[in-house]
Amino acid sequence: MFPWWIYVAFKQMFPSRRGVSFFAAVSILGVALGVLGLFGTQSVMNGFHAKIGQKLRDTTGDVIVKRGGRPISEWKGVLEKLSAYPEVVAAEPCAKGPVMMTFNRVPVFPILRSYDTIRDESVLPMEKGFIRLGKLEDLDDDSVILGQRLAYAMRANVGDTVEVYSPAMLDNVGKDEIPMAARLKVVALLRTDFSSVDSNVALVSLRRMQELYSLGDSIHEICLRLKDPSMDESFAIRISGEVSPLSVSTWLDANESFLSVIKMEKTMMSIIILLIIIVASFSICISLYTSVLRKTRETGLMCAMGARPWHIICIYCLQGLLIGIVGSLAGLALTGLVMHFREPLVEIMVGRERLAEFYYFSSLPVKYEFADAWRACAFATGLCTLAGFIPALRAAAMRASEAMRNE
Amino acid sequence: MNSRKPDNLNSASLSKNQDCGETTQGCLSHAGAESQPEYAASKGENFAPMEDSLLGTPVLEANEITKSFPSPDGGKVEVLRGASIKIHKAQSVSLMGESGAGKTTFMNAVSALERIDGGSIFWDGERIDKLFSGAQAARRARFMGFVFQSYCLVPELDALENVMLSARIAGLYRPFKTRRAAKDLLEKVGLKDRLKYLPSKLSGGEKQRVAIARALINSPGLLLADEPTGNLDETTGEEIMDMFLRLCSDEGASLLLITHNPDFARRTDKALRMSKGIILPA
Repeated sequence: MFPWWIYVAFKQMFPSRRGVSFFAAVSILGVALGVLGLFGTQSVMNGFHAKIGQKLRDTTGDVIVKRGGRPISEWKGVLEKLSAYPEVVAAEPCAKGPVMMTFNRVPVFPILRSYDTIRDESVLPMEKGFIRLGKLEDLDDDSVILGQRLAYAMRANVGDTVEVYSPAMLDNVGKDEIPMAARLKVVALLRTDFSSVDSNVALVSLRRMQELYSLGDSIHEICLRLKDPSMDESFAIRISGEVSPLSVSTWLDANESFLSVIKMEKTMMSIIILLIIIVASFSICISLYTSVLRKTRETGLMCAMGARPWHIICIYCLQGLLIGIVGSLAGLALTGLVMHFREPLVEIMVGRERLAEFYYFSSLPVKYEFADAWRACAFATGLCTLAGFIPALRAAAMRASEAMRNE
Repeated sequence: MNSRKPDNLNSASLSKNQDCGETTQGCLSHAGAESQPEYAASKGENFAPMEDSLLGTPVLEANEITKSFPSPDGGKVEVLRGASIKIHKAQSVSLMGESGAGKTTFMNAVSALERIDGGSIFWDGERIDKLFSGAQAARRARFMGFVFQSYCLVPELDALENVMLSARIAGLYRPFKTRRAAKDLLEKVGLKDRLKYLPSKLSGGEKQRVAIARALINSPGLLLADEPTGNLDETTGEEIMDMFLRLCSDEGASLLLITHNPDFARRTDKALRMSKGIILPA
């Protein structure tokens, strides 16, 4: 049988025949909203992080071998060696760089990336349906695949011809000459649902890219896709000796600053949203304090009936604890509910297009992490218990004889 | 009261003598010796030890209780100046006195809710004023029942739960047994149909009945009632007091009743009066 003070604390929150007291209901709702804000934000940020990570992997590969941005000429042997590893699903020689592209006098400055049409092996997971309105097989040395949003920006479509100017053309052009643009036919559109790729990347054949950048037979880097992406770091360390003097990095290293920004954003947003829970705990503290003053005689009576000061402390701390636990669980449930219906909510509140424009994705990504849930609940519950402790001390300090005289 | 008429008669007759013995100062003041020095000189006397021994160990014995509180001007206010009392098993004692005489402080002192400055207090022969507050609280929970003027019911609990709360705090709660006992008591106080009523739905008289049932649930040796009818109209007060005294008698509990009503005081086995911190016979 549980101690009487648990019974009293529980009854003060959930009185007989009234279900739940107004104070308890409002406090629980406050904590639940705080946890929803905190855990919801963290889950969305996790979703962003995970989805951006996935997209970065999809577009850059898990491991990248390069020579500090300078061309690699002796790459074929290295590529062969790396392809032999059982962990490697795909190994792709890659060249990429910025170009100026025009269509109908609309200039854009995308990143042009090579696709090895001869080996037809790419770290880009084309099987995911990245290619729209055309076929990858149609890509040759005189054609290009435009990112969907890039094509939209230029008002170009499949079948149109775009003109491409590379920086190398400027190097090679003589005095009083003008560089001749490479005219490439759009054969397909690329849609990865990753805004920074879809609006900023175009694919050409490796040979065309080597020509545009005057690379000869060289490439810029070798990209590898692994069977188990989580092994990227250990694999990178393993091969770094074998490919020396080339350097090996993972997709995390390559996008470190970008990912750090997302991580920092998550931390900052969490700190701000923590304030909601702190404010909720203040209101719990004030409400409980008022309750202590209102229940002075009852407290005195309980002391007269044999209650000890620590019993009284437990009654109020337990109320804080119960509010914290129930509020946290309600907050988690609420987070699940809101996140389940996030698409219509985003549609109504922000609009799908704006989301894609500013946040890279056309749908709001969510990833629940147990550690985040645990931290949010522990923080909320801890604060609520602490909020109960202050009024509890006030109640316990009452002398029964004085409490009974209270008017 | 009728059920234990012979006992009452006996204790009432004894109390006549007891008054002179246990509250020696009262006898002196009754004899016209009002001043403290005279009281002090004679406080070593005792009364009829023979009859005391016949009654056995007192349920409550308080000797020469003194208690003072700090006053706002930095001095001390002496509230109890050597108050003494003895209450025997199944005996009812009333304590009257003007406001500020120290009645409630005395009740708090003998129930160990208030630390005393001097004197001694015995519950069932055990000295309790020297015990730690935790031990006092544990003994008080099982030994004493309280009825207050302001009812002091827990508003979140219904009548039945309020009664059982006392057993829970005392550690005497047994799910079925306590519930049955609480129901029986509420039935005895005439609230059979109000078991599930919250205090907010009960009248003043009904609340006080619940408080009485709550005070009796642990079968206490001693009931302390501080103006239990103070908030009630005359008729309801009469009813409550009738029932209260009858139940105390039925349950075999001793009673210390603080009241301003001389009629109620007369109906107890022994009527005492408190004045300026000392206890006198009424």
